[in-house]
Amino acid sequence: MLDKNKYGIVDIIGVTFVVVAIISAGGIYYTASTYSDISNTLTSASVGVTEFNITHYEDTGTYEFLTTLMINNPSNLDINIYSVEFNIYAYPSESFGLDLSHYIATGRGIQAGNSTISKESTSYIYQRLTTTSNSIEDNIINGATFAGLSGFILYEIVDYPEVTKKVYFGYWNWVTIHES
Amino acid sequence: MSRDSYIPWKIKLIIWSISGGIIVAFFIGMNIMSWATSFNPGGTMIFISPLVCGFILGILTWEFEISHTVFGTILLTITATIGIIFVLLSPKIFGVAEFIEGYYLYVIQNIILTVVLTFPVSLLGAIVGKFLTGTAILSPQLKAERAFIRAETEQWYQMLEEYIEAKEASGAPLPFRRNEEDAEK
Repeated sequence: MLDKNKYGIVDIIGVTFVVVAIISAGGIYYTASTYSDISNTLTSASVGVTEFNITHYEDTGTYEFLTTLMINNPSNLDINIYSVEFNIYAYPSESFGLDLSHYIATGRGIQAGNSTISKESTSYIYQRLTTTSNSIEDNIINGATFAGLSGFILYEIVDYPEVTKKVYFGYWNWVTIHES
Repeated sequence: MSRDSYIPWKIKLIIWSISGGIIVAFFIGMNIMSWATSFNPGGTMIFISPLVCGFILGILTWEFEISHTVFGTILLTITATIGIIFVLLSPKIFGVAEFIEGYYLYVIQNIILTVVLTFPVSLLGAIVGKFLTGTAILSPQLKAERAFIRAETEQWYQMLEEYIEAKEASGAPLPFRRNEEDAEK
């Protein structure tokens, strides 16, 4: 009754349609898993201050601030730290809260060669800042000061450079001034 | 739908509709997530993919009723929407991250966009595909048979009208009931 050849073409189109849909389903799952990996990286990567030392050099009168940041990347994507910025504050006691008038100095930069944090790993970034500011001396009590460190890192996901994030860190504690 | 087939026509319709929805979801999802994937089909594919998938669905359902084709496009739209929801909520589905409240508004916006884009465009494509396929695939013999049946039906209706007029002219009651007026009589 009908032209059998033309009826066969419709069947071929139907089978091809289903095959393309199966391939597309794989693409949808791949996109979803990629998005999940990126989201996991953005929410799990963290930064913390593991060490903060202040050294006073009597010969030059300078104060050197050595900061050690620990970057933890438990995700399965590599991240690249491309910027670090922080402010240093010093207080004579803990009662000042976040008083910005006790600002000492600002540190910026990233140590060369230590910018990429591999997946599922932890790395350390060292930031060294030297200042001749005398304002810190007003906040030293018995060779120590209540120091505050507040800043952020900017990182990007290596495989997806368009994805960036800013992560904040802070440190507030008594720090002994080392004399050198 | 009376031709022999291992798969019932209803199952075929559902499979084809879901397949079309998955393909549409793939292209729209790729466009939304273009920043996270290396394959970017371009913004125009969010219009072209439902149109082409609807057209193919119309080709596949050329011998079905038009209502079945419309049902197919509705199922296609629903499937595409589910696919988009899966992509956008995948971090929560996979349990790797939680969303801020504002993100759900973004998801709803994309769902509305998917529905508004997919359903009318795919329906248009399906109707056009069904019409073109019906015109192209119907063999000349079948067309001639349909024309003969149509002419024979018209001839029967004309004979019936002439019979009714003759009965009314002679005043004899009709042996059947044409409408409510005859029932009251």
